[in-house]
Amino acid sequence: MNTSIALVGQPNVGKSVLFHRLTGRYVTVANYPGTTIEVARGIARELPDTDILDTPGVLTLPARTGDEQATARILLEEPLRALVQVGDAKNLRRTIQLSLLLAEAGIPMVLALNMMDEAKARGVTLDPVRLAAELGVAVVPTVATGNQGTHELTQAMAVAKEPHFRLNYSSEIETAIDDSVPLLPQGHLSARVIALLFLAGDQATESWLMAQGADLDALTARRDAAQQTLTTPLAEVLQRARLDAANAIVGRVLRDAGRAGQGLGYRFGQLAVHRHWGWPILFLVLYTVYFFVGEFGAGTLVGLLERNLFGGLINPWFQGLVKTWVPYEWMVDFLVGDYGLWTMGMTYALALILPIVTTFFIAFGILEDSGYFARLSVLSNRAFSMLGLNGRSVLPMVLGLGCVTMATMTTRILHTPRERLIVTFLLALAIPCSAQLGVVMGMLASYGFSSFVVWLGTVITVLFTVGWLSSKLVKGKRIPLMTELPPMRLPVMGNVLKKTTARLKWYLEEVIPLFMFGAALMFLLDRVGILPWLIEAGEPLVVGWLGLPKEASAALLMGFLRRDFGATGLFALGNALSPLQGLIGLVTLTLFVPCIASVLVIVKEQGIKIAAVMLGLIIPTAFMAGGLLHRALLLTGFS
Amino acid sequence: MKPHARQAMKSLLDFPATSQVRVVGIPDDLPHELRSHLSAWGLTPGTIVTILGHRPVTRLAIEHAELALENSVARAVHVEAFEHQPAGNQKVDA
Repeated sequence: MNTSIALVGQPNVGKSVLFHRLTGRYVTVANYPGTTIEVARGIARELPDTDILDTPGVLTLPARTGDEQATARILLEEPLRALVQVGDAKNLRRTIQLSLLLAEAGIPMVLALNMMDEAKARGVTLDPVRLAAELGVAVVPTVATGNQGTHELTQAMAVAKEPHFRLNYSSEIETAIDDSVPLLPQGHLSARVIALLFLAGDQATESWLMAQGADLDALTARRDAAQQTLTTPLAEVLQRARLDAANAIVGRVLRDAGRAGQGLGYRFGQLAVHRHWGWPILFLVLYTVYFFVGEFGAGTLVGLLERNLFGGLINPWFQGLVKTWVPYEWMVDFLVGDYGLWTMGMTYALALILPIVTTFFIAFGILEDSGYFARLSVLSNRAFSMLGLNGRSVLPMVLGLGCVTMATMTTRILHTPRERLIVTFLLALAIPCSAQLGVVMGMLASYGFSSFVVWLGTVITVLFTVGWLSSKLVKGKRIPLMTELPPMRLPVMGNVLKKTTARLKWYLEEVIPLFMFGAALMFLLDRVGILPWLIEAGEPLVVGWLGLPKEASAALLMGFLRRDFGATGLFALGNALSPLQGLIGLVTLTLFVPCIASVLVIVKEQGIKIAAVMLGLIIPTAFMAGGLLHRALLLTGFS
Repeated sequence: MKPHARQAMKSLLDFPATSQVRVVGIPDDLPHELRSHLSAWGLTPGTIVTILGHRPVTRLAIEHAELALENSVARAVHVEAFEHQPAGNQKVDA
């Protein structure tokens, strides 16, 4: 018995929001195409014994990027009981274009026309009943963010039927389909759709056919023969046929196409990418984030928690408790000593970083949902073209500010392996993740805005210098910018908070154990004499080259475990560091090796060899940049 | 001064912001992977799009979706003027 139902549709149409409504399971949602890069699975609340699959968006099939291929694989490999196409009601033509392919897949289907509210706001009116008749599928209008239509959708899913629909392609194509079908293995999808995907050159379909032991050579020969009869690539012929058919249907079901380009969101979206106004807006956004996270989070909140709550109340009480009740001195030291589990691990994690990442996640969530991030790709396109990339690369990099590990996976939305390689490397080198950024901002806020500017300037200079060098070394052609800009929206506070909670949960579950492990490790190294020895050994580099006090060696060492952990070590040195030293230490740590989890993901996505080369380049670069900055700042008399 | 001779053809770059144009074709010299992206977004012959601006990159609306194309790509999309009722009073940079 097949019990999975997949949510399939174009990027940024609300599949993940709907998934959350149907299953109660939260997956990250945001306002940019490509938020979901892997398939998520959850149990339907109102349908017994049914799994719901949330899939990465596909604009059309064949899949063009790694995340789209994940969706193609689900369609090919998962025995689906039904599929729900989630479509954007205001972009009917592209929605129907995909329906025309899915409706022939031989799987019961429902079309959820989502974002009806936005369609209405733009004056779009359509006839869902007529559309249902045209496609032979149930059509349910929904507003997933407002939980409208989800109950009707569930009911439609329970009784979904296989659509009786057939799009007649040109005779050349129909002949090619008929020629290919006898060579195709039995699959979950109809042979006709498998043939269509193969003719269009879909890579996931080719891999699937290979795995099924199909005669790929014979199939390819038939595809080549079909291509011979045409002047345009087959994929485009198929796409155009579907678009033309979709156009005709739109003409019959759309009552009013509405007006594009109106409203406050639209105006702001245009200003945000304006060649002059875009920059002050960017500066304003950065400054607001800096103020909220750096001043309020790292200043006010950390002050309350660290100094007053932990420093003044909890820690003295806990230290007293431990000293009274624990008879062994080493154990007292292990718990509440300098590198103690509680003093270092828990205090860092809860009093220093937690308030900072919380404010950061809130700011980040608001920006994510507003649609602003995607607009940065337009502003940054020129800068990225110097790196042989295009502005699309800014998205994984900005997401890296949230979590470098996740962002490394998001490089799948990029179009070429070359772009993925360079962006992955730059992420590992120069993009601080939220936890680290939080500490960095906290420290820099105490030094003043000019330090923040120096830090940012140095990191960006390194990013672009190294990126420029890599683009010369990594072979391949630059792809010009082509991207979709999602509509600007006023973020829904509930969603931002939900997302912040989910991220804080991640932080508490994943980062804190690592902090504890780190604190235990430092304690151990200190005890057996390795730490003092390492501090001594690192002196020429740390004291001589970077100009830091030798105690900072411990912080750099901790940076190997996690960059934010290292940065926190610097934070904890407090007044022992001059602002100059703090700044240099932070720059060095920002460029330092990324956390273990992200190294593992780099290995997974790029292979162990490339990961090793990256690490081998990153560590010397970090120290080089730190030392050079030290000298440059001394020369300019910065203090 | 233009190097090619098919210059009667106008591209997305030749129309100011707020104009509505109809896609006529995309020449074969554009690499296949770029063409496939454009057609995935629906930029195929016959499609009507609204130009929103040209700098720093060309932006256009298809239905209610907004695309950003670098000028080298926008130049490769051949279009013709599309007569239509005025498209509202959008204020967009040229």
